Amino acid sequence: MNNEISCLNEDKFKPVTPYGPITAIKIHNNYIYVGYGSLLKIYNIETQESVFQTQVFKRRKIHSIDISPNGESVLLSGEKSFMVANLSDLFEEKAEYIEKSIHEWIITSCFSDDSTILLLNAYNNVYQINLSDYTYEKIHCNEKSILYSGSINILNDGEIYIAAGTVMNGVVIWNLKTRKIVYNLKDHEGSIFGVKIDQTGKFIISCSDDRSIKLYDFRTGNLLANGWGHGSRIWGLSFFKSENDKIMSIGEDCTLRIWKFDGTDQLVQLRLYENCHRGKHIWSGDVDDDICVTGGADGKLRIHDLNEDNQNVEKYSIDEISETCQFDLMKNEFIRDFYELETCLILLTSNGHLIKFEKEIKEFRYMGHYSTLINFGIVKGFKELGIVVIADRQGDLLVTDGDRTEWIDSKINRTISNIFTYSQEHQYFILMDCPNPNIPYILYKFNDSFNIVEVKEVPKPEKFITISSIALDLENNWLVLATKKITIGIIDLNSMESKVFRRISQGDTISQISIINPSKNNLDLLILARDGIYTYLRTNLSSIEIYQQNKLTRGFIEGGSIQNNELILYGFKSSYFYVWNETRQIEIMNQYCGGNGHRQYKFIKQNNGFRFIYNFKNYLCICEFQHRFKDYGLINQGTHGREIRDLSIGENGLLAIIAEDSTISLNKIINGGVKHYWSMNNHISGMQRIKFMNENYLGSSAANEEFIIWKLNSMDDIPTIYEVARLEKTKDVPDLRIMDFDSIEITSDTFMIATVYSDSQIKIWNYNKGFNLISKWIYKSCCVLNVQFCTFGDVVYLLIATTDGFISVYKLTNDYKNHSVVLRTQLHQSSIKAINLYKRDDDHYILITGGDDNAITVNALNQKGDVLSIDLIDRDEFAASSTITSISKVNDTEFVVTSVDQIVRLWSFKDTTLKCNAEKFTTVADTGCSDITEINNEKILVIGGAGLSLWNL
Amino acid sequence: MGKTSKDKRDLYYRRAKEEGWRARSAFKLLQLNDEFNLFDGIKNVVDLCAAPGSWSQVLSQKLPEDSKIIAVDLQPMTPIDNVVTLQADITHPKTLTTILHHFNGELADFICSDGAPDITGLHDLDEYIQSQLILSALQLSICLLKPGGKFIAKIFRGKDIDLLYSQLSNLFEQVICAKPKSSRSTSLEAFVVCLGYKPLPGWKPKLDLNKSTEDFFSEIITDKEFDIPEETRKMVKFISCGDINDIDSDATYNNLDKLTLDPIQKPTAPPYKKALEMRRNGEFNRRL
Repeated sequence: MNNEISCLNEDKFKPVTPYGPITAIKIHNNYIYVGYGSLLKIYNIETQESVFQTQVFKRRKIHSIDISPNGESVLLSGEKSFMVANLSDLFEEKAEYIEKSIHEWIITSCFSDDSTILLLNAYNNVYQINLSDYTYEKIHCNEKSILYSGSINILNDGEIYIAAGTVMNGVVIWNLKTRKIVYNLKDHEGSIFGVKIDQTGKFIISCSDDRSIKLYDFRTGNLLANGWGHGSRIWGLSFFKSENDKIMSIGEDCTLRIWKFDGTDQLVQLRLYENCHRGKHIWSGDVDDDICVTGGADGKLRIHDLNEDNQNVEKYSIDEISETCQFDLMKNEFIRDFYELETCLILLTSNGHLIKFEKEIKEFRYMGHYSTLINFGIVKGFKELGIVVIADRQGDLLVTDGDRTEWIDSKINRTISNIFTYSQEHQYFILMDCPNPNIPYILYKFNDSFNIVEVKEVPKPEKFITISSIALDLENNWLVLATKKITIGIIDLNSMESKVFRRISQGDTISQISIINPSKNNLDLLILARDGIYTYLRTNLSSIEIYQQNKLTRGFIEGGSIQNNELILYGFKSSYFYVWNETRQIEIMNQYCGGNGHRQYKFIKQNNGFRFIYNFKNYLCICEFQHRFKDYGLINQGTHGREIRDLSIGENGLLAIIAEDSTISLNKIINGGVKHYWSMNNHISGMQRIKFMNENYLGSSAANEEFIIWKLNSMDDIPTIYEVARLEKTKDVPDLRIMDFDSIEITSDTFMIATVYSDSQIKIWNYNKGFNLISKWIYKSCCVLNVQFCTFGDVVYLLIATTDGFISVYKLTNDYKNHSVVLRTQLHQSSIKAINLYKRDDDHYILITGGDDNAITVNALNQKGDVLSIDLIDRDEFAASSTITSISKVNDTEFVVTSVDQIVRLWSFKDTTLKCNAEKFTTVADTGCSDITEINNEKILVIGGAGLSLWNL
Repeated sequence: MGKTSKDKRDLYYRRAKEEGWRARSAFKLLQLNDEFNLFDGIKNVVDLCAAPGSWSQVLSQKLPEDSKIIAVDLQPMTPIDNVVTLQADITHPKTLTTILHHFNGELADFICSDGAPDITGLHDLDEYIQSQLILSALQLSICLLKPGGKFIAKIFRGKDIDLLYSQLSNLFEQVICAKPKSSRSTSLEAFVVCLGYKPLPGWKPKLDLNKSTEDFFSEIITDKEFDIPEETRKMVKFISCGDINDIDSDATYNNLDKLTLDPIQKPTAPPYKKALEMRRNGEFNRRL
């Protein structure tokens, strides 16, 4: 045995940035204390800046944090460890971190006074420890249930109660002093994941496997109310600091919910924060009175504003409006449309009444009745000018600033179907569309005084029926029109020549088209489709190229914009309106509004937030949302919220990751951290492999027989990724997985590709825009796990590694059409989980393998004359305590191995002997993949699993 | 085992239904036995965390009729021929007494546990709970096993598995990590096979309801309270069990007929059954 199991020359590895589950959060005064795995991080709430960060536990994760009553010390505990540190020492970076340990898992811990701490262990025992000399007493209530959760509750009257959430036996509440069980609450089914008592001793709350929250009367033990709503397990809950009838809860479904007990037997859900993290699981959270902080499996830390004033909804019924405005309401009259200006909102009812709503004083004022606007009226406007424009059926425009009104005769004299507005740099446009396809569009141009300065007839492109959105490129003088089925038309307004790009991709109606970047004879467009597809493309009028395209799985897209290089989208999902940050993969806000239907609404971006104005059941609702925290309250960047399955590093630190959440993320390693750009939803499930094929192409494989080729590009220095091709399915077996693939570059856009399958198939393809199957054969019946090409001179070989522990090498003919087995040898007892094959010199390759049998082997593949042979250089059957999952090459004779025992090892084989040179524990559990790159002459190792970690070598 | 599309892809799962096993895990014990001849010369047998009972089914079929097989689980279990089923807590001293009573005061030759907790997704917690399950099985085994007896248990090869190997190596002549072919290589699951129980001289282990498993074993640990323990880690031999030509649990098999088979035993209702029903009936989310 070469290695000493878990730590050796640890300084050869320097951890730089970890991302992983946040396991503990404590809000105290103006700071947020965060258990980021083994690290303690402290953030200032006001500035949202990190003020402290250090790894305090050697291996274990922090699961509980408390601050002493005098505010001088912090108590950390997690797994079997605990530690008390002086806070001012900590901030002055002179604290000593003395990790202490008990024999059992610590569920929670707290100070009972400045010099005494209490630890509740998983066996429902409390250690009461005197900090001056670490003398202790072990206290129990004679009920040794195994706990999943629990709390130590110091009530205002000084009594201390233990609330224990057991695995099998409900909730046990006991008094620490008397050691008597007060209640054994058995209303839940399944394990209890959270239980707390409020400080005043009025209520008990608990949550469990059964997806309910239960609120009990602490004085009687009677169940008072249930809270239903979480879609899966609830991981934690907490009372608000000063309102004990309000509760926050967090769960596996990635939601944060705020509840209120109103005396009835069902808790009222006051607020729902959905998708506030990525993937699955919000593991930790804490609530103050008007903020809540959550930490997810994605490693993100988010601060949520609970101040109701910052997402305020005002509602006005149409009856109330007609009453104050003193007009008679027709039966079924409704608010047809509205447009908001700086100081007022102009409303049009279905019966032609025009009303002004003064925003400042919140009063409605009647503006008049317009008979031509009965049953028709399109309300648009130019906010910069303070002007609302209402088109009647004949295209005549009623223009108002809220005080004066004036008609503009459009001189069309025929029925119109719609008008569109566009403005840029003191130029204002209205485009009028008629239902007749032979009648041209009319484009009006206005100046700052809103006088028409130009009227143009723009011929309709052929078969271009309903416009859904327009944009004007003033640089090239191009008019861009969008319609159904992702079809756009571009008209050169100088020559009036038009070009239509039909069905640019799958998708429904374009809800919004906008210009990203105009440049001479080139135009970058952002196209948003209602069914959730967004597209970035570049066109020069004669052709288009898609740079980026993805489909949202959460809901519909009605509109969006790019702000500070981040894509912000909004739309509807089920009964909600939502605003989504696609770049950061978090929901910014949602508002319950009954869903989209044919709802009339406006979404207006403001300085520090936005307004969402909508009709809902006879009410005009004005929702005002203000950002209280910068970056949407995102304090710490994270990564996938599910286990990372594979990763690959390309040119310039580009990092592609696939995870259990079925997404591919495109990131970049910048300053030792990972910056996220895109999260692609094209795969369905069972992600297997991701690899850069060259600097322009990326490949990914998954279950459902999926293999996708992605084109890489960049727009405005932002890397982009777009699916250019995917293999067609041949079988209706969802479990048929493409386990691995490899490619040989023929030209920069064409490849030879090998794909290997879970049903033992091997296929060779030629890729040149599309796939052409060259050859296929079957290995045996077992699953093929790895594949790689290797070439000696002109001869191409294909090496596969399989679940039976064998590697096999096939010699391919020059045309790749035929193959013959030239080598087959067993290197492992069972699955070969990882291989690394690289050319050492013209005559030989080095093959390193790692198995499910904890072993690694190093071999040389030699070609002598026509004969290929494999020679074992060395092997180690005790290379790890667990499955080997990845092998990354450092240099010709050194490599890094990851395994599920969470030890990263550096091996060398200089003198034909395998030697482990360094070993270090990684906090990334389920360690499954790694890759090495060099940035600024520094070797960076990226480790993936339940989290992501960057190390310097 | 439900009636699912797994039928189409998991050959072991399908074969388990065809052959009447209550779970596909039956094949894991069969393959472990093929490798280690576990069933040779054993008479008194305990199957811990036995529900739904596929390992007990295997034991009942493979052992001679005069063997005594006791299956213990907290959950109720459908009876199996020649198997005494006990609904009991394996950490309770009374369970030990009951088992010994069934063995007429004799000790056990073989104890196995295929138990696993529900996974939360928080890896360190899941690994801890699994290790508690193994230690609970082990502490009962220590009170129950004949010197030279065998113990096998399901493990997850996570970060501290080498601590467990080290602990077990103090109590058994031979400790091996075995992975049957029927266990997927994508799963962290494996089995620890402990052969030749050697009681620690001078230690009279005793089950006590108010002791944690750590308390139980602390009698043989000498760490001072609160000190970070001197962790002894140990690697053990890995053996892949089952014939190389056995079904590969990672492979996809084509040409299985589309017919789904009825499960041998209906799955039990999950704790969140009511939540599912309420959601279906639109009774979720009381809003203001």
